[in-house]
Amino acid sequence: MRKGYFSLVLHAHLPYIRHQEAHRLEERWMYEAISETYIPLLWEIDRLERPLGWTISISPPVIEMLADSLIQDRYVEHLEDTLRLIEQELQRDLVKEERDALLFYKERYHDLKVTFEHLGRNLNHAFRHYKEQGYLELMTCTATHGFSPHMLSEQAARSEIQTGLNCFERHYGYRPTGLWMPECAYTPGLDKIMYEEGIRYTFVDEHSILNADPAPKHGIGAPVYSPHGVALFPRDQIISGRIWSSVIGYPGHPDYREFYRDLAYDREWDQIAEFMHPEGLRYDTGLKLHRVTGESDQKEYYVRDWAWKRTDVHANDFAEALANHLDEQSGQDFPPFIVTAPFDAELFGHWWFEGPDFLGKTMERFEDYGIESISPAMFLERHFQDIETVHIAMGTWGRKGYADVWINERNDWMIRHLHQLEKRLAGVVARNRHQDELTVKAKRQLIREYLLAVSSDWPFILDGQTTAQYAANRFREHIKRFEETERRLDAQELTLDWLAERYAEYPFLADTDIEPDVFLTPHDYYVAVQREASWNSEAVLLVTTQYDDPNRPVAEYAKRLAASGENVYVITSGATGYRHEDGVHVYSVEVNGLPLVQTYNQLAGLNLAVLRQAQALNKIVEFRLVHNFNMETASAAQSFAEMNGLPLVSNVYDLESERSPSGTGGLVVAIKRLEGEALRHSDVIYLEREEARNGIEQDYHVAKELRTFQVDLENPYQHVMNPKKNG
Amino acid sequence: MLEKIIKLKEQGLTIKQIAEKIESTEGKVKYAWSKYRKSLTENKAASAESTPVAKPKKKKAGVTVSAPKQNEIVPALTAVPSLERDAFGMATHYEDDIIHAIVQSPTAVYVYWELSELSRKMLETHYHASFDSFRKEMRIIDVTLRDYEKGEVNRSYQFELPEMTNTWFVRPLMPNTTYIIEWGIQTIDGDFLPVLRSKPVETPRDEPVVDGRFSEVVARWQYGEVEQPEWVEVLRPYSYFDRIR
Repeated sequence: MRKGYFSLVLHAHLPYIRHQEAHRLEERWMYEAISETYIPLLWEIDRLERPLGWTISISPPVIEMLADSLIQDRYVEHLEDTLRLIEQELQRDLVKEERDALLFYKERYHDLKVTFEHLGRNLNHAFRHYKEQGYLELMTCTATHGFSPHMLSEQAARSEIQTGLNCFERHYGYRPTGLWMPECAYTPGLDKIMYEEGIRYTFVDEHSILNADPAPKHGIGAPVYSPHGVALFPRDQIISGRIWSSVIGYPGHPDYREFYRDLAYDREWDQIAEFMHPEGLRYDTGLKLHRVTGESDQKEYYVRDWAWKRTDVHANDFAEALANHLDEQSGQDFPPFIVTAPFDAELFGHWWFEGPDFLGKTMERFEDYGIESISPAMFLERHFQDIETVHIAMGTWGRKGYADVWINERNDWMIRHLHQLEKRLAGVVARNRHQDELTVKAKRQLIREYLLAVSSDWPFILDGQTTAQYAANRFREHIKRFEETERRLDAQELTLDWLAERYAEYPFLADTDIEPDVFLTPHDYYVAVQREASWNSEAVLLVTTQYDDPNRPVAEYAKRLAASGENVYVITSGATGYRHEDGVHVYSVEVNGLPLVQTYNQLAGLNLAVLRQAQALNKIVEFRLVHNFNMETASAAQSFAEMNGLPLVSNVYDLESERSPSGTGGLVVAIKRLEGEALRHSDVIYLEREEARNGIEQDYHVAKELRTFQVDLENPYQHVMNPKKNG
Repeated sequence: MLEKIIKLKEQGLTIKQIAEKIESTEGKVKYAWSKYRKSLTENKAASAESTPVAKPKKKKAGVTVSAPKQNEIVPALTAVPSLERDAFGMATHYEDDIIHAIVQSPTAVYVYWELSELSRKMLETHYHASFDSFRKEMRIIDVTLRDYEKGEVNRSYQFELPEMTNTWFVRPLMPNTTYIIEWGIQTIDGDFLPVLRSKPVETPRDEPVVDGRFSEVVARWQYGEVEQPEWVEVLRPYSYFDRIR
């Protein structure tokens, strides 16, 4: 046996494209993947009948579609249609080479049908069987292949991971310790969530490891641990490139099947109409009768024997090259050198038609060359002690290695909607704590819609502009379905029937796969459930710059108010914090970051901070009025009151004209304007000092009654409760 | 007023349209409507006695909607605001105050933002000027290994944004750098007033490190010497009731 390892990882994924109505073009993606990739791979695994060291990741949408009887039935129909088309073609006057190619497909589609029926139409059972035989390792990816680094919250990333694992476990009976992260996308912190969800390894592209800090001593010759303890296996681009590269790779050989030439485009419409879309659209039949041939557009017919024999040559070439590569690295110890080769599974068979044959034959050549094929899981079992821990930056296996594919001018409009859904999910699970069937089902349906929307396939397709309309429509559809469900939940218009109908339209994930409280933080649970509920109603909001100012009556007044049974909230300036003191909720806010130069702008910053705190409280506390104590906080108090339809009460200690008697500068003018506006917008004005009365009446032309303020005012808000009735 | 709002709401008018029709503010209508909706919830639990305008909810045959128990539902005071929609039925903006930056590449981040009506109103009140008249700017702040809350920065720069913008690809940036991005207005006296501030975002490295900055922090974390990792992790928990204690 040679020193070193090879590890093949295949990731099978399609977006969830199951539609109840027939003839959706996108559903054919699934048929093609089954016919060209999934079953041919199973054929090879079955033929070899031995531990292969392969790891196959099957994404939850693929798992769910493979298990879906509607898809299964339609797939069989599709096979039968194709066999009929082949028969019809064979009736035509054909040259020998074309006839031979068709005869090959006839046999192949027959075999597909026999295999599919033999496996009980559910390929999950077959993959599970071979896993249980020990021939291969299985894993899955996140629920809908969402692009984790761009999610807003930890909860969304966790929901994707956990739901994906739950789905896999429901179909395969166990939880894998490895997880394929969509697009090999990694970002610092993602590993924490993965580790907490039981994941011990995943894959990244080679530049992610090469640019790690500290630089790993084995480069891409070994996995590394992320800081939170997830092993990251690097894609080896040189070795992978031999397989997928269009320039140096095998699939472009003249003997192999030509992907872009389908029978559908070589026939008159009348000849194939019956097998095409009823609305007159032409699509691939899957009968691709030509071979790559060469650079020219002139393509020769496919000769199966030649292609078959070519895979022998390529399998041997690959094994030999790999053997040399391993020998060159044989000096590496602790751990020994490993070549990790992760691919999209559909590359083998769908894109490179002969790919599954090649993979099978490669495994046989490995035996000749003494190459050990190992799964990452097994590698870790043997060498977990010999792996370095490093910081890995954000990276993917996409174009240019980062996120250019998933965020660019073609698809950037999507992200804000997804983030809003995340925020609203957190709100929904925090606010709706009762566990009756309807509410729990509604929360799960909301998460289902979010997950279907967050699939990385939609921005990916928009980036490529191939079936952009479908992707954009699906994305919008799930956002709107989410909103409608949420609206009905809030309005108590939901029924179990309605939710069942919604589910039937996209029957993706069982309810038990989805844990709504993934979106709940302990803090939100505290606020929604444990925090005193009576604090939330009929509250008074006091706004002031300095709550404890000994010259002002705010603190004493607030405490007396609380003692009289009012719910009293104070927002004041100070180091960010909260205290509940003598029945008063005191929130301090501060402005930090780069300092502002001008006083009036510093005030704007303070008011923004006050406003943010008021907005936050307003999510759960229902205020009945705003009582402002300082001109400095007037803009926040006034706007908050006005926008929420609340009465504004203002206390006046002194006026700007008293504070800056000779002031005429811009600042004084601005403050006076602000002061006047706030007073004119106040429903009730209290004077702390009589001296201010003149100024209010004369400078600001306020015609309202100016009431005298005392800290022990009996029922201070009697004048604002029913302002109209009191005249 | 409430009776009118309910009537118009049933006719399918948006909060905005209702506000225009009855010559009130959106805020007031929204408030009255959410209060009414909340009263429905409470009435349902307490088997309705007041609120003459409260219409009994239709229930679908065979399905009972269980009445919420007290304390288990927090009424949605601001949960689903009525929003303007585009031709596809998607919200054109959200009544939210958020700026968020995500990585596109080692030298570019994508930023989007939302500013609520309330925040606009406050700025207009404070500066006694219309929102349109403000000069909007974006400030890019390099805070690598700095504590921005204490005002520490490595460097920053700002630039004017065109009107009607709510997204920006910020480039070129430096790889392996932590940024905070602020959206704000340039005041008449030349200050930049930050209105929205992003969480820190870190551009990835694009080349092998020679003398990196992570060896020590990774080791400290690995050996349990620190409670929290000393690097930026973007996937933090989002708390809906953040800032409420």
